[in-house]
Amino acid sequence: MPLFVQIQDFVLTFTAILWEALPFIVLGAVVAGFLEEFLPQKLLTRLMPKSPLPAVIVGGLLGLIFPMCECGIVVVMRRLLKKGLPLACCVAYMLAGPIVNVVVLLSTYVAFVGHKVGPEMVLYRAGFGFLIAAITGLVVYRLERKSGLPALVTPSAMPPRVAGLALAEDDEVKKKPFSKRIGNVSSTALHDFMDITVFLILGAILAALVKLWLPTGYVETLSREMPYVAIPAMMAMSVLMCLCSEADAFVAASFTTMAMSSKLAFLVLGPMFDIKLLLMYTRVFKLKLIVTIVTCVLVQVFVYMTLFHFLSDQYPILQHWSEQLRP
Amino acid sequence: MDHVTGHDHDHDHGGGHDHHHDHAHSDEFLEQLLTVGICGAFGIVAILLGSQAVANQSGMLTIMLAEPFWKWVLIGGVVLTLLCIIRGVALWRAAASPHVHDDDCGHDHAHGESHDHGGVFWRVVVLMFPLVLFFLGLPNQGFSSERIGNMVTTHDLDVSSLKNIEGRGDVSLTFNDISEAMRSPDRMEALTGTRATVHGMLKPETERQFTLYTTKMTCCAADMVPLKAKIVVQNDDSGGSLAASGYKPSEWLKVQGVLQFVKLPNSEQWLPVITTKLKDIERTDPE
Repeated sequence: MPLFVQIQDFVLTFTAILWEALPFIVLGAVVAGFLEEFLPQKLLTRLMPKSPLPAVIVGGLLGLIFPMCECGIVVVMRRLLKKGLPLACCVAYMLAGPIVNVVVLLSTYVAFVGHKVGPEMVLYRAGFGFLIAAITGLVVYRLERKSGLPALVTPSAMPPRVAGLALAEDDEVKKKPFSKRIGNVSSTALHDFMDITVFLILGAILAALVKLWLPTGYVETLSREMPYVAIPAMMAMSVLMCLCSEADAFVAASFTTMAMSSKLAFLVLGPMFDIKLLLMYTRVFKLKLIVTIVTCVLVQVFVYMTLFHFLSDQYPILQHWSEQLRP
Repeated sequence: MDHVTGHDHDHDHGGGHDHHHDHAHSDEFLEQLLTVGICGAFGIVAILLGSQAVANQSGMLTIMLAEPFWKWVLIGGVVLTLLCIIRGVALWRAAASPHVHDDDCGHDHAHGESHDHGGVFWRVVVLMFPLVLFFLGLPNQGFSSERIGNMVTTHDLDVSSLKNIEGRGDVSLTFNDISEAMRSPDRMEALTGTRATVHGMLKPETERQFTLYTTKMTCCAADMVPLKAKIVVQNDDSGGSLAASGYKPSEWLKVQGVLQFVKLPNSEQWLPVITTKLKDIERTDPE
């Protein structure tokens, strides 16, 4: 392909990823601004379960109440972390939120209902997404106990209490005039927008470059011939393609001859980890925590999907149980 | 940040704590202005992109994003611009009044973080990139036909497996219609045997078969997927052939023929197949 044509394709992919994500980044930044200014830290600490398991379960299901895509959720999660939400809970929310939410599950259903596996894909995607997020949350909890929060998150995400500073007294905060509080919301929102958008742009540039040479047709052929190789191949594709979790199901569904396990690997991993997210994570987490989260997610996706592939080979009903439920 | 010209003071960030450090307020103020300026530029560009797409169904955004997202870009732009106005007013007031270093000062100190104010400049450079593209008028076209053609996978088809169906009716179908029909066996059944006219691009295969395809964008151009149908050209009295017709790869064609759906081997997937004659294929304008 001529270089000029490749540059045009690159520009289109890059701008498409960026402008699609932009409204959600703005939404995330505004939510983050309001959380920072109006959510009392004491309330959050009081409401959250103290034990790690219930905390990560709540975190994994938080997306049902605060549905956000994977770009916006990083901004919101950072503010929640700064407000004192436990790290494990934040990580579970960040990983599961872009999957376990109504909009994404509905789009998954619509994409696959024509392939007669709509309910199956919804259930497996939500189930595996939640499981991986919860287990990663627990691993992060243990790591935090061992290393301490300052060793894992960047100072910009550190709650004031951990940073060695006194908590803001709610009564003091209430004394501020409303106009000043709105001003503070705009300050936080613009700061977060700028901070995250820079890394979204860098990630989108990388993703657009990779997409220029990504052999999607080859991966589909590979899946037909070597399904166990197709799982890591589809995992790699989800990391490189940087698709929005609301749209990725339609792309996965377009790989018509691919095994269900490979499509699930693509759908579960993509919203949790891709190139642009990796760069965005650097604004919240230190290298040690990023490596832990990424390793934990990659290993789990591969192991669960390989097991699923093996089991669904043995028990085909696993792939088509919704057919049995029809009257 | 190096506070070469800084001065010492104590201040209250409004977060219920005091601390003490140096500041070069002019640098800090400049950074705040840059933040408002670059975010405002993003907001305005988003408004321009979104309003043109929503009002006229034209412009760059229509190439980049599917229609449901146009209004969200517009709304995102409006919200971002409003945030910038609010922040700008706060900065204006702060600049006009004797310096009280509180939350209105604006820089979001990550407590315990080194005050890396200088980072804002390289971030502005990165943020300028998409804005520069916008002012250059890019992107100005969809994906290249070479790229789209590479996305389309073809399937071998045993022609003997096709049903010999007498065509009925005469409807113009889009690939979206066919794709929607493939969601339900009943709808496929209803369309089977329809004499359909479809428009799409050519991907050559054999002397008697080719794939006709178009593209569908769900959210953005990055998730674009091809929609396709296999075209089987039956013998007719004309004695012509596909090769002799001189159709080129990626050329837009209008094909009229009888639609049916064939299940792919070892798969739950269906492939739309249109049987036609050479005389019912003609060149058409790109869509």
